[in-house]
Amino acid sequence: MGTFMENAKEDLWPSNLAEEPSDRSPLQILREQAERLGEKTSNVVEAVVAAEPHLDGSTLDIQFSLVAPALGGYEYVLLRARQPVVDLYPVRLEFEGNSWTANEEDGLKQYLANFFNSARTRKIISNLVAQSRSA
Amino acid sequence: MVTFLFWNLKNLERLYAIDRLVRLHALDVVVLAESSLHIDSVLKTLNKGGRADFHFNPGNCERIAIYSRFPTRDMRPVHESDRITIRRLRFSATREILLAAAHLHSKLHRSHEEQAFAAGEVASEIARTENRIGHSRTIFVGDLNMNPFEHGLVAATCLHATMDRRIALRGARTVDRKQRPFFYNPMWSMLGDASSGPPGTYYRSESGHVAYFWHMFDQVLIRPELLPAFDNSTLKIVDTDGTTSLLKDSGTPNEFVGSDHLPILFRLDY
Repeated sequence: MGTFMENAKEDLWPSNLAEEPSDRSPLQILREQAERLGEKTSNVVEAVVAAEPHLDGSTLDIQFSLVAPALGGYEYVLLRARQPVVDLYPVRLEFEGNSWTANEEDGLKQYLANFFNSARTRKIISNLVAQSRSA
Repeated sequence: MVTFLFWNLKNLERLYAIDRLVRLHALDVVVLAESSLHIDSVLKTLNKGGRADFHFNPGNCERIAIYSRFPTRDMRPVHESDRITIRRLRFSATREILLAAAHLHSKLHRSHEEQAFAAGEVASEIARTENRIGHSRTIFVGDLNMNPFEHGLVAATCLHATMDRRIALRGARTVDRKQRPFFYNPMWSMLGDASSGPPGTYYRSESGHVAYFWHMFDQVLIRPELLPAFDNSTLKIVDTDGTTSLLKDSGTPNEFVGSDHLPILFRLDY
């Protein structure tokens, strides 16, 4: 009986259970980049990241939107991402009508850099900044 | 009474047809998809004779162009993406609606499931914008690239657009513990050859087992709050610009004079 009680208390879980996975999640990376945008525009144009579980339950739908507070909170959805809830990657990205898939954090960051540096993104942000300043 | 026209131009030069339609129907708002018309040409044509009735109402959604009798301050975008633009359309100091216009992905590039997911995202964007602005007097118009009976239009998590005005007037229904707001979709009544106009807005000759031939890709959806302002008899699939038929002899869209899509026209008495 004593042996049974001792076995019942035995911890079979690994000691490093709460360690972060080696890759950061797409949601985390997008939230960081949203903060960076506000810093660059003095919050004239901000970015907001919204996430909700997809209907299938196994993925998370993420929207990365530009917001111009001085324009009545005008929003532009710049990109969408769908990440697996458990495995984090591959993440599917949609930007201006085209889709890409990133298999790990480095790939995701490369795509994001391309999206953020594209002429389209720069034009939208500079339009919003100009309109906000004249509002 | 405000008269709206939506037309997917397939990037064809149809300036004079638009001009004739504006005059024939006294259009107030012209929403175009796949338009490569130059803004200054459109304004010069619609405002010829020293008038300055029409304005270009700019936005960041490049798939949609809006020209209207409303100055830009009364047609401000409040939410946009590459697919959709949502405008706050002010008729007067105390009366405004939300005009959402979209050109969703083609069936050539997206599966049915992907189209439905995208429709769900668009539906969320509309609902979120309504919450932010504080009302849901919304019309949603565009080339949705889906038929009224597809999941993207009907499903509660998607556009939730019903064929029955009385059901839409219930406002919303609870599915999976969430309130899902209705749209009313009057395009159901326009399907088929017993309707008052052409059987659809787009025609494609198909060789597979399942062939609809006619599709109702171009649609207007109306939230219950605006339904008292909408009379179904004002909704038309337009088949002539008043001078020239937009149809071939076979009765299908003639893209040599119009586009591969037919325009839709409707009025709001709000």
